[in-house]
Amino acid sequence: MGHGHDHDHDHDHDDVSLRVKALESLLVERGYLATDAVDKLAEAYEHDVGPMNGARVVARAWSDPAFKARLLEDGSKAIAELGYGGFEGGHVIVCENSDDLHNVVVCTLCSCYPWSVLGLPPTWYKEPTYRARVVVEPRTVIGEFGYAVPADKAIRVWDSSAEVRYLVLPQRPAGTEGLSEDELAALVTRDSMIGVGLPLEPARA
Amino acid sequence: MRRAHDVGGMEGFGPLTPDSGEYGFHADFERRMFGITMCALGKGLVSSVDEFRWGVEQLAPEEYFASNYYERWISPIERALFDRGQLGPGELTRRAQEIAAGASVPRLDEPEWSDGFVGFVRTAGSFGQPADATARYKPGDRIRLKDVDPPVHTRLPTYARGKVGVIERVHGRNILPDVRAVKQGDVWEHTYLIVFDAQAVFGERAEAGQQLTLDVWESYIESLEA
Repeated sequence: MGHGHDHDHDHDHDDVSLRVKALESLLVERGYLATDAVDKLAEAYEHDVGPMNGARVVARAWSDPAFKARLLEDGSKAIAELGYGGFEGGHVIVCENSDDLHNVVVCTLCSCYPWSVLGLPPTWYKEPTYRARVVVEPRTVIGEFGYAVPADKAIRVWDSSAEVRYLVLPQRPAGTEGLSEDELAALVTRDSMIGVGLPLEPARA
Repeated sequence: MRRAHDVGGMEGFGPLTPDSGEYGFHADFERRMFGITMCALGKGLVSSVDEFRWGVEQLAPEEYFASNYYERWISPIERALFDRGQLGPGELTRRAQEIAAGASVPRLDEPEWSDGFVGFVRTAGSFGQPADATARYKPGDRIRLKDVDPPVHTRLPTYARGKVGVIERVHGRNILPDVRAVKQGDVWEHTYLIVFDAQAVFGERAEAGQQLTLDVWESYIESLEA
């Protein structure tokens, strides 16, 4: 096998869990790991960095035309106004949905994703099925998530193959006039910011 | 050569399984593996994200497809230790057996380093540089991508090789992953947003009217087209 790949090919969770513990143990001994850094990163990406951040960005864009203009001009800079940044968020471009165009994001080569606004990606986003199919048949794939993109709307698929990360700005749902930014944020789903779904409607929130 | 990770346009997959809006982790080993990898980058064990990705890409296809996403992250870290002479044959397996038999994972806290590093992960800005006058292409240019088959890491997916698209934006300058992945230095190049008609890439298989975009480094571009 070479390269230290001496494990067997059993992929059950117990085996993987043991190998990860063994790796952590060896890295601590060799000075390549601080246990408290691992703890703090897990805590942050489990609780503080997630799609609720992106939802706030979208709700602000729906409520504040000047912010929306800045967001479309320079995504990461406008996002930083709300305090979000860091790894996989240093260069964000915001893709605005319209009556004519629906946007959907993928990374076919790995799983690049705008961590600063969406957190860590969901399982299906990382798996080969989505990555293989959405570039060829986005309308069908989005349909499998429960949204039938209208036939007269073009679809643009963004393959995040370099350093830019993409966030979809969904259209503001009808019937949301007068809602506060907090109320609007509650309608913004993770899927609507990847492009495989729509925001919730007010009655369903 | 095409490897398992390069799946864009591959046929034969089944339907998607939507979820309920998750983020974060699903198991404790995922939680640990995320931080282990960040530390390996932060402590310089793995020299760059490109070296890390190239490590994942060298998994055998049957292993790649059978593995959990974070499970695929084990191999690049193992490889980096092995390459530095810090991991002997069978050592990881032996350690796993010791842990299965009751050995504990040692703990090393470094509050000052950890606070600084976690802060950096959560606030770092762009690692790129603005575009400058040396950019060879401009928005509106019709270009053909190279039809190449690199033996090592690249961010040019197989499906796009040799295809024609239009440059929509100049993103700026970024370090070329193909060279950094194999620790041969930092080569800065302009990166571009290319827009394709999906049928020009995938033929009739693609849905009519669909656009597809890709971000490419300048050296992935073969030529200007008429």
